[in-house]
Amino acid sequence: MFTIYPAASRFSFDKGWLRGSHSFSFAEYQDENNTEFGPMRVCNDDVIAPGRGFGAHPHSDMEIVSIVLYGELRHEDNRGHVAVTNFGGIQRMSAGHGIIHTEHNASQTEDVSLLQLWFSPHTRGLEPSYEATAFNPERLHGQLLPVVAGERVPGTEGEVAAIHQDLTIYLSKLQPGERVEFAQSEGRRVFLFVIEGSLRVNGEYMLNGRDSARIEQEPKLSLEAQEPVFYMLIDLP
Amino acid sequence: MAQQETWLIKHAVTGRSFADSRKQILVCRMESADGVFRFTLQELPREAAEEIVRYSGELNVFRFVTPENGAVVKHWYYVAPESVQYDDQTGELRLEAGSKIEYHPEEYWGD
Repeated sequence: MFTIYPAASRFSFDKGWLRGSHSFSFAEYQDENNTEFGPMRVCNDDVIAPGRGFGAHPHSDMEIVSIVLYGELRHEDNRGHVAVTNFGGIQRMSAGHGIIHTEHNASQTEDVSLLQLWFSPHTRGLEPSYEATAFNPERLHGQLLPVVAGERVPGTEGEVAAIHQDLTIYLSKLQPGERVEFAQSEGRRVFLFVIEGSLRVNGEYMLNGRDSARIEQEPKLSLEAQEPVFYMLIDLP
Repeated sequence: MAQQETWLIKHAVTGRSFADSRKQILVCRMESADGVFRFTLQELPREAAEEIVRYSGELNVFRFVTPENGAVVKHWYYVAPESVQYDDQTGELRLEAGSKIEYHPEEYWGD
C-alpha cells in the first residue's frame, strides 16, 4: 500500500519568525485521522528566523530527532546539554520522564531549516538523554546512509544517533538515473520524504520536493532519481 | 499585585489545550505526599474531562506561579496515566503525578 502526500497537502503556516509545514496533527493543525504512522507522530519542516526560536518547554515520553538542512540550530536543556548543529548534524533527545529544553536559531543573520521528527518510544518513563551526532555528507551519495537507529552499531558512535524505538532513519542523495533498493520486512512501514529533487519509486510513483509517502506491504522498494535528489527514508515498526 | 497561579492541561504532542484557568473557570486543588502529587479539578466541562482521560498517556500538566514583583516560575508534572479518572456524578477529575520539574524560563534563552 502506497499513499502519497503531496507537499501542498501539508499544513503550512507563516508566523514571521517561524514558517513551516506539518505532515501530522500539530499545533494549529488538528486532524484526528492524521495523528500517527506507527510510532511516528510528528514530521515538521521548519524554518526559524535569525536569533529566534522556541523558549523553555517540556517534553515527556517522546523521541525527538532534529535534522538540520541548513543554518545553525542551538539546543539547551535542563540537564546541562548545549549543542549547536548545522548540516551534517543530528540532534536526538529522549524525553523520557521529563526534560525541559529550548531550541533556537544560533545565527543572527541566516535562517535555520530543519526537519523535526517525533516518535513514541518503546518504553515509557525512560531516563531523559540527549546526543548530537555528525555524519559525513559525502557518504550520502549513492546509498541509504543510516543517521539514527534503534540499535547501536559498533563503530558508529558519534555518527549514528541511538533512539529508543525499533526504527532507522536513512538519508540519501542520488544522481539522475542512479538507483538504490530497499527491502521492507513483513509488517514494517516506510515513511519516505523527498527533501529536494524528484524520485521515482518502484517505477511508477513519482515524488517531488517535500512530497512524502507512507508505505506498507511493499516488500521491495526501488528508488531512482529523476533529477538530483536528496531524500529521507524511515523504516518503522 | 498578589501572587498569581495558572493551571494548564495540554496534549503533549499536538499542544492542544484541554484546560486553561486563564480562559475558563477551573477549580484545581493539589496535595503532595511521599513524592506523589494529587490533583483534583472541578468545574471542568465534561467534554474536556473526557478528552483528558482519553489522552491520559500524553498530558502536559502545568502550574505557573507568578509571585508579586517576580518572574513566573513554571512547574511541570509527569502524570501517571492510570491515575487519570473522571467521576461524571461529582464532575471531579482526579490525576496523580510521580514527579515534577520546576523551571525558570528567564534562565534559558529567549522565552
